Formats: sequence, C-alpha cells, structure tokens
Amino acid sequence: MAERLTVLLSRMQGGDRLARDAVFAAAYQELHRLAHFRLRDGGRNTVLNTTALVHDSYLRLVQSGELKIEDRRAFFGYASQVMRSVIVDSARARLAERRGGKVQKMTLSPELAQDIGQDEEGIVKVHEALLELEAADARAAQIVQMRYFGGYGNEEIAETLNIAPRTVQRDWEKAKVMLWAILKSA
Amino acid sequence: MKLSTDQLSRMSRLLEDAIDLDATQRKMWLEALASEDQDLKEALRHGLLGPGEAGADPLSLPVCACLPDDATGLKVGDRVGPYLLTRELGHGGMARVWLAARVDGAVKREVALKIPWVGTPRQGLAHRFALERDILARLEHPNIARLYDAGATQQGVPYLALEFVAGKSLLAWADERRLGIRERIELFLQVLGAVQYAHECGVLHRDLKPSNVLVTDSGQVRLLDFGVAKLLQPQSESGLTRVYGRAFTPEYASPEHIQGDPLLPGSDVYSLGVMLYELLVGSRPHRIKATDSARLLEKAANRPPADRPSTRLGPEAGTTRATPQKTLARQLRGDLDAIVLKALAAVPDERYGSAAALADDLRRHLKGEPVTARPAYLSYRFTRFIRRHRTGVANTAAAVAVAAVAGSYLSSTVTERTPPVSAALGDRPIAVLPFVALPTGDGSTAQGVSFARDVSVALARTLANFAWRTIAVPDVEIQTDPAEIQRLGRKLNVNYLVSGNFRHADDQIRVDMQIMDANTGTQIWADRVETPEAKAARFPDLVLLRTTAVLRRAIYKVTADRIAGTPPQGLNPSEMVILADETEDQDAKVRLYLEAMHRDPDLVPALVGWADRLRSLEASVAENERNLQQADDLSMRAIRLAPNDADAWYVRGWILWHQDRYDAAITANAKAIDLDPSYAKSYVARGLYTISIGQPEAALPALDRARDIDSTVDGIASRTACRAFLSMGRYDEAVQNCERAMATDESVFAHVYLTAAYAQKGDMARAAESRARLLQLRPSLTLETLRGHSNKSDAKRFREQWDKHVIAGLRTAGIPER
Repeated sequence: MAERLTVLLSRMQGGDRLARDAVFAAAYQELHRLAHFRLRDGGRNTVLNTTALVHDSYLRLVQSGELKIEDRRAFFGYASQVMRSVIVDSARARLAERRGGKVQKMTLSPELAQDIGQDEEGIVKVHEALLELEAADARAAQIVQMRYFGGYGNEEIAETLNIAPRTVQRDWEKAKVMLWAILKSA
Repeated sequence: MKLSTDQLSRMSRLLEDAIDLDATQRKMWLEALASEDQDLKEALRHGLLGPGEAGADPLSLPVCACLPDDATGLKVGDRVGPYLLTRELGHGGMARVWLAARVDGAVKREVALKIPWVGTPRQGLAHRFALERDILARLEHPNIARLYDAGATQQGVPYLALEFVAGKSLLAWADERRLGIRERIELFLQVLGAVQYAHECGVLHRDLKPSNVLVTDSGQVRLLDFGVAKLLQPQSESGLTRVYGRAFTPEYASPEHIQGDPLLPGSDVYSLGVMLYELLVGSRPHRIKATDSARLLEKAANRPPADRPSTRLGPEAGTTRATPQKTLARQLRGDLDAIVLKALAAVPDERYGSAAALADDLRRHLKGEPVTARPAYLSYRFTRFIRRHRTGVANTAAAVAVAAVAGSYLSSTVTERTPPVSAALGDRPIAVLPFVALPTGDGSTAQGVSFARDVSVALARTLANFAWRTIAVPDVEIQTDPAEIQRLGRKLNVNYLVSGNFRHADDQIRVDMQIMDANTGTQIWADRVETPEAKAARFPDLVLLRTTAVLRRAIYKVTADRIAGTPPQGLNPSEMVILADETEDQDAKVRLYLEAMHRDPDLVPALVGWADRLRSLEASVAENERNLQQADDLSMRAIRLAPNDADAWYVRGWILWHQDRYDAAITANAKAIDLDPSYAKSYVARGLYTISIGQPEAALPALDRARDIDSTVDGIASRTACRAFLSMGRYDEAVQNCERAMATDESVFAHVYLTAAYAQKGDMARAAESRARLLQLRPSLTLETLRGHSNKSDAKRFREQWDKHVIAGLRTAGIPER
C-alpha cells in the first residue's frame, strides 16, 4: 500500500490527474478513520483536534512541499469534505437512534454513534445551513467547511484558498453571521 | 421566514463593509442601511451586535469535536483519570504534556502527564497500554525518567504519567555551561549508559533526540519517553497509518526507521550518533526539512555520508565550548571524527553494535587509547602510544629505548586488535532472541518474548562487566537456516545469538537453549534445563534463574574454547580473565590475571578474579594476612570502579568473612544476590555466613536455593548444609549431606565434618575410617588449628556450637589436640 502510494504521489507530482484521483481514493478510508477517532471524543476535549491528526497521519506526506500547490489545496479541501460527511452521518445516526427509529441507513457502529456528543441536531443544522450558504457565497462556505468540520486553522485555509489569512478570518466572521441568520430563519 | 439565495448573496456583500467596523460603527452602519436591504436588517443586527442590548454575545455554533480554537479543551484544574492538571508544560507532534498531581491515592506525586494527540482506537487500548506499561515501568535506571502509569480515562482518553524532570535539554545545558569537548563526552556517556541498559531490557527508545535528554541542575542526565513512541503509535489495520503515522523526528531517525523497516538497537545507536555530532559541533550531520516527508522517504536510502564533524564547526562553537576554534577542530579530528561517523553509518552493521560499544570507544579516546573506529594503521597506534607515554618520550635521551618498547608494543597490539580474535568479545553484543513457547498460542508467544527479555536482563546483569553486552531482540523470527542466521547476525551486528524454547511436559517445565555462532550460522552449544512444575510454582523465578546460570556458564565456556590456544599476546585483557577463570592450571591462572591487570589496571573482572584468588590461597599466617589485605584493597577498588558489579560484591563478602566481619559479609553478599540473583554460589556464601553468626537453621533455605538454581554447586552447598546440621546437633542429616557432598567435592572440610558427625552419632567404625582419610589429606591437622576462630562477640554463639559439635566430635574420633 505504502509503495503504491509513493508511486502514485510521484505520478501526481508529474501532473497525472488520474493518479491524483487514485491518491484521494486511497486517502478516503484513512480520512474516514481519522474522523471517527475524533468523534469518539465527541467534543469533550480537544486533544484529538484535526490538525494534529492530519499532521500525525500519512496526510503529512501529502502536505509535504513536494506536492504541487494545487494538489495540496485540493487535498485539504477534500479532507475537510470527508470529515464533514463522516461527522454529519454520525450525528444523523445518533439522532435516529435517539428517536428510536432506524430511519437512517447506518453505516456506523452503534458504539460510535453514542459518542458523538450532545449537539447532533445542531451539527446537522449547521451542515444544512452550509448547503444554503454554498449557493450564496462559496468561499465563505468553504472556509466554514474547512474550519468547522475539517478543523484546519486560518493559515492552512489561507494557503488552500490562495488568500491572505486575514481574509480568511474576515470571511469566517461573515460566514458566522450568515449561518446564524440562516439557522434563525429556518 | 427562510432566507433566499439572493438575500444571502446580498448579505454577503453588505457584510464586506460591516465586518471591519467596531460595535458603535456597526450600529451607525445599520441605521444607514439602504431601503432595499431593510429585509436583512434584523438578521444583520443579530449577527453583528448580538441579541441583547448588552451586545458582544459572540455567535456560537454547536460544539463540534473539530473546532481548533473555539471548542473547550482540557484546562488547568481538569481531571484526567486520577490526575489533576496543574499547568501545561508544552506540546509536540505526538502529545500535549501537563504537569499534574495524582489526587486519588495517598501518594501525592507530581507527574508529567502526557496526552497523545492521536486517537487510538479504544478497543484493546487498555490491554495494550497495560502490556507496554509493565515493560516500561520495569526500566529502573538513574538516568531514565520513570514511567509511573499508563492508562485511559473512562472516556477513552489515553494518558501516560511520567516522572517529572526539571532540567534543560542536553544541548542547551552544555552550551550554557560552555562545556568543552571532554565534558560533553562525559555527559554523553551518561546517555549511553541509560540506552544500553534499556536495550538489555529489550526496550528501544525509537525517538532519541536532544529534547528527550534533560540534564538536571546537578548535571545528571535523564532520558525521557523511553519506548513511548511505540506506545503512541497507532495500531491499526491501515497500512497507511502504519507506515506514515509512525512517530519519529526525521533529523534524528536512522535510514531504516525512515524507510519503515523494523527497528533494531542499532537504530537508536544512529540517533545517538546524530546527537553526539550536534553536541560536539553544534550542527546536525544532515539538513532535513521536517515537512519533507515524501523526499525524505525517497532519499533515505541514498543519503550521502555525513561530513566529518571537525569540518562542520559553526562560528559560535568556540564560544559555547570555551575553546579556541582551532583547538576544537584539532580535538575533533581523527578519533572523534571516526567514532561519530561510525555511529552514523547508513548500514546498521557498520555501526557500533550497541550503545555500550560506542561508550567504550569514547572512553578509550578520553584515556588516549586506540579506538576501534579507526583502522589499525601502525602510525596511528604509534601516535596513541606516544601520547599516552608522553613523559617518557619527552626524554630524548631515552628515545631509542622508547622506540624499542614501542616496537614491541605495536607488534602485540596490532595482533590484539585484529579480528577475529578480539571479536570473540569485542564490541559486538550477544543477542537474545525470543524463546518460543511450545505449543504455540497467542498467549504463549507473549510468554516467550517476555521470557527472552527476562533472560536477556538477567544475562546482562551477570555478564555486565566483561566486554559482553547483551541485547534483547523481541521482534525477530527464529531462524534455523545457517545462511539466515548469518544474515540476522550481520543485521544485529552480534557474534552470538541465544535462543530456545520452553514447554510443559510431564509435570516439568523444560527449557531448551542454544547458542548460535552468527559468523558461521551454526549451533555451537545446546542444553536443556528441566524444572518440576510444583517447584517452579513455589519459586516463580526459578526457571529463569536456572536458565541464566546455565547460559552464563555456557557463554564463558564457548568463549574460552574459542580463544583457547591463542598465544597471550593475541588476547585482549577481558579474554585473559575468562581464560583465567576457566582454567584449572593454577600457575596459568595467576599469570593471566596479572597480565590482564597489567594491561588494563581498571579491568574490574581481573581485579575481582585476582582478589578472589588471593583470599583463598592457603599460606602462612603472615602471608595470609598480607594476601587478605591486598585482596581487600583490590575488591574495594573494583567496587569503586563498578558499584553494580555482583561479582565484586560477592568476593567482597568473602574477604569480610575471612576477616571475621560476618555482618558486613552478609550485607555485601546480599548486595551481590540483589544485583545478580542467578549466581548460585552467593546463596552458598549466604548459608555459610549465616552459620557463622550462630544461626545454622536460617542457612538451610539459602543452601536449598543454591542447589535449586545450579546443580553444579551441589557439592559445596551440601558440604555447607552438613556444617549447618552439625552445628544444630542433627548428626544424621549432617552425615547425609556430607556423603552427598563427597560425590563431587572431596575437600578437607567435608572430611572434617563427616568425621565429627560419625563420632557424634557413635558410629566409631566409620569415624575411624573417615579420620584416616582426613589425616592422609592433611597429616598436620590438630584440634588447635581448627580453633583459630574469631573472638569477636558476634561469633560467640557460633564458637560454642563449633566447640560442642565439631571439636568435641573430632576429639572423640581421635584427632590430636595439638
């Protein structure tokens, strides 16, 4: 696996789009697993913050300076997206369980679903609000996804979006106002 | 009312203007909002100013585990397991570290509480932590920070409680105090001692770097995080994490570590090499960007050799080492360049085989002796010789004589240093591979690995002061194919591989052991130790101690066989001592001990061996006293040089006993047993000393233990037991034990006891027979000569027992009074 990834990465460095897709596919499971780890702590503590996870996993490799900047950007964005989907799925699963029904098709272990934390409903709502925000202000939505779900800091987000960290912070403030408004109006 | 996409887009544009304003300005801005945007006014007001008039209610989103800044993390005062967080000490790539205090128990201890970043799956975590914790918690060394506890909270947050060390990192400490090269090396020797100890226990550090080496104000080195990297490493099925999630610091990691190959003790040696490089010159041998992992991986294998340290002195080096730059370069050039580069060899088998071997070479350098890292050039050895004997050489008149002496010195030392002869010991350790538990199962494999670790630790203790070093290699597979054994030997850089298996069979625990010669790939020795299960159950360490005792003897024998027949000039001093210990030829023994001490006056086994020999020589009273005094001096010197040498304490005990200092003898001997519980003769000595203070009944358990551990001491143990029973007036048992002793140990004293015991029993025929044999062995024997015992009060009870049972018996048997 490791060997294959190395080969893929070098092809990816050479600009091979297919290789990039393959790397992302290979990374999916890993990201999924990382997200689960994080959820196990359900926000009770932050020792499992994503940035640290990402640094300590193989993602470190992907982040390394050898990758083309656009590939790295794509990867950060991708990682946040995977994180988001895992978190939201977990929250929904937990909600479904709490309501006593098995409405949702559960792909997660029951053990995990118990651990997600207290505010599943809120998390799902943020996710839905974010869908609306995406339509109106894609960049702000991307920032929310990376920061809120992906756990990235301003610096990484700035690099990914190729904007100044200061702009990221401003957009985050803006996005919070809009999310709040969306949540309020729903 | 739900906001439309159009409304949201407008809101986004409006916020562009408002977001940079402060609260007052925002209020004004809201009031000035254009009429077409009035539909957004309420939402904007809430968003920008908060719901209440008090304002400043930050918009909060539901807590998600992922928010890096906003989420509530651990903070001072929180509890993690039984610990209360006091303050944050710092954080690194692997974990955040808190100063914490244990709050549940009686012990109020401050610990460094390490909480890993990496989430480890909860399943199996507690078990794995417990397993590793037990291994790590056994590391007890003055230069290693203790691991007190490892566990997980009920929420599954893993934590490690480590000894809190107040100190500075190695490099900072050395620079602040402006240590010169010699002081730096001396400091580093402490590090090497600690690493060697851990390797003997089968624990690799896996992340050695200066920040893991703290130095306290008093100058004591403390190594942090031994084995912790392995503990924190996520154990998952995912190949990705296994390869890339490994915790290491690229600048200090060995090439094989970076490539993800299994780690060996040599991998730690490499990291030590990087540290030593940096400690000496102030920069690291390779510049590696920490984020550079893809290239790191690619290029790890063909990393170019490091520059010689002497060429890499930074401009600040002179200042921080309080030494002129030129002098520094000269001090490093040659030996130290060679030593550091040998530790940094890209291929493990070109490195030092152990931390101890690196330490030995550094010590040789400090003493001005030739180092193994440099080839045996005549000119080099000559230079070393001149340096060591500078005073003699300075005298030009004696130049010719010196050249002649040097000539002979060269001819002998060059042979001495040439492999394979010195490789019999040399700087290559003995590897203890896992013992296989048969029949194999999951539990029993772990048992085998832990048994191998225990054997390694026990052997390391028992062999410590010889050039033999041991390492436990718990992660390799046992090989039977000679080529594979050779390959493994090269990889581990050892001469001997010890392995074996154990099984339960017919109420016995059977341990089969073998020693393989790594150079030829063949088995050179094998033996079996069988222990009744019932006995093993009563005495939990028995199997281990018996195995160790047999292996210790075997390693001596194998080495002695290998070097037997080599002319003395071809032996190194350690080898001479081994031959001296093994040989029955008394003259050769004396010659070998003396020659070894002459070559190396600090060689502890030689001092101890010679002291032991001196104290047991039989000579005139005056001469005995002189010998004993000399033995006394030698043993004290040995203990000063090696305070943890069991043999030194054992011999010390004997010398004290000869001086009739029985309590002190018992204490010294207890120390020997403590340091090496596998050496059966020290239990016999304990028995004898206990008899000497008039408590013969207390001697019996020690003597039983001696016989249990090592059947080869059966003779002297039985003889001593005979003496104990005699002192108690239990003559039948005394006879029984003496007859048993005769089978292997027909000494004068066995006959003395036996004669007295028969006479006391009233078996005069046998007493007369025994007396005849005794007088044959020692015609001059009288009761007078046997009475020469201490008049000190602590021997009073013993004297009474001796007179009542032994002297009286012998008198009855007809031994003359004087």
